[in-house]
Amino acid sequence: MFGAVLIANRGEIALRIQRACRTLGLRTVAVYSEADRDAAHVRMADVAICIGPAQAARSYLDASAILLAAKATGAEAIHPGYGFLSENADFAEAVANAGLTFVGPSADCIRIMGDKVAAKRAMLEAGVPCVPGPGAALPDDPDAIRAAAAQIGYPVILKAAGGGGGRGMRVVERESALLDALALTREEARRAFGNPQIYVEKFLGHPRHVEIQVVADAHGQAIWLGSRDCSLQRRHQKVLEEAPAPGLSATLVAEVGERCAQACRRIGYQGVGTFEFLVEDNAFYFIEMNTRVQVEHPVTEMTTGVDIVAEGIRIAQGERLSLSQADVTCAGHAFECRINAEDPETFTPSPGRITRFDAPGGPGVRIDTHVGAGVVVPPYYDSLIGKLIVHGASRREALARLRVALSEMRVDGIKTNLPLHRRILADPGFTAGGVDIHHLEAMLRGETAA
Amino acid sequence: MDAHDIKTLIDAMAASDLTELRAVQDGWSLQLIRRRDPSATITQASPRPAPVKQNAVAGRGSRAAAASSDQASIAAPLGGVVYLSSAPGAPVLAPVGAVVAPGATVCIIEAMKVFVEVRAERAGVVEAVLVRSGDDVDAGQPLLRIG
Repeated sequence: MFGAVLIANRGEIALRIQRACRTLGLRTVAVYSEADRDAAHVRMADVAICIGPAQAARSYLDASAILLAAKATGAEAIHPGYGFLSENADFAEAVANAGLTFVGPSADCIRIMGDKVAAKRAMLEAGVPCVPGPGAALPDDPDAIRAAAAQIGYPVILKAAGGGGGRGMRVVERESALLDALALTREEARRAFGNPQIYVEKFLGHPRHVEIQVVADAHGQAIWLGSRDCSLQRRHQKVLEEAPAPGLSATLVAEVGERCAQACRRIGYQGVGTFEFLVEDNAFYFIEMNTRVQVEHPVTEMTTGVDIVAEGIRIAQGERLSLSQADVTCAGHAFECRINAEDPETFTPSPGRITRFDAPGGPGVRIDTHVGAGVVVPPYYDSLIGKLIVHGASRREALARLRVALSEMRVDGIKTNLPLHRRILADPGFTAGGVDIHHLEAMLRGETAA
Repeated sequence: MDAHDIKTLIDAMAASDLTELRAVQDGWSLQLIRRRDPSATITQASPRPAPVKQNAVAGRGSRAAAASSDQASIAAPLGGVVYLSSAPGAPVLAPVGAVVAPGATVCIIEAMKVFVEVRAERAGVVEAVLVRSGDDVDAGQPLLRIG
């Protein structure tokens, strides 16, 4: 049991976690960099402490500064949010070693899921469907490498065991290109992730990105909270998400969801998490697990009515899940638009002072943001300035509400991707539902039917 | 080759329809390039390995040459952290004295986890670098002076 939580993050998620803590009656400790001195999460916290200069490496990524801040403020738990140190197993371990509670899974679970080969092996053992390919890193013997790829069938994709989030991957169309591509990917992986291990999988041509939200407690209980579709991506970055994933058989999703919950029980997972899948021709293929709260968690909150962030904190306090699988329902449909400070055409970042911020309203409309008029968006962190989340009784109603909300919302002083979201809402493929992960980039190239 | 010699060559080139002129003398090389805009003659004066005294002369020469052509700064297109090389340990993209072509990357600004290449809009010689690698810069802040 703990009474004060240090939130080791910034921006909208710091505020989101702070709200959850306050509804649970917990004291909140904010940490901030010099660039976030005037931030909302600092202002609203019970205690706020500066942990370093603007650069993330010297503030939000500085584990020792954060642990020192926890000690100085009497915080008994640390919530990592997403990004920064949230999937750093060494940090989770350091928090535990300092006698504090890490709000999230154990360092061991983070470590397994951070190694894509180990994660895949764990998923295969738990019966979670994976992309065809051996659940082991490629050996050095050229004949064995060629045999592994040939058994899968071309095209194949080479992936770095230490990679993730779309980095450290290369598609190979034919055997003659295999060994060169492997050498290149290995070298990149060695440099980028400090782990030269590469594995090979079947390359799927037109998959959707579908994910399953899970929550597991320390008492061996695990449930899944439905599906999300995050296929609208640009350069592997999600832009707009929805729940549930449209057009998939409920039986199929439930079967995969149950296997995810089973995998959590099997590996002793604790806290909130997400299993990410590629889905092609009604088949699910596991790609990775995110061992933390995700940016797009609100769409699931809207459809299930579960406060996912609060649930994660309660679980860290040692409490049991507040609901069983039978209590989980999926009502209506929800969308989330990530509002980024960037040029909607060139995608160049657009930091600076916001001069005007008109938030939309109405039934089913939720804004999670840390900004407003007069706020300066610093250039040091990611470009997310808020999330527009809309819920409706049906996908059609949610779409209609989202269109109105997007027309009402206005941010001046910096550029945002609001015009891009309005374009997406006018796209016939998207409004029909079920587009693949290449759809948005094709739309941006002008290749989709208007 | 001194400032007067360089000025003489610039004047000679300006009076002609030459678009490029290269002169080598006493271990020095001088390159004059004319952009499509006839008012903007730009120069490069680069010392071959030479005594320090001649370096000083070259400095004067560059300034003299620049004084007779357009002067401009390259400003930060957005706020962020500026880097003068493309990777740690890599050579500086546009050190003082470097000739830059239109479209050449002169530095990089990191903002919101994105690296944005800052490019020269026109040809010129880097006269001054006004920031240090790792500095925070505001949108519109001058980064380099191009002669």
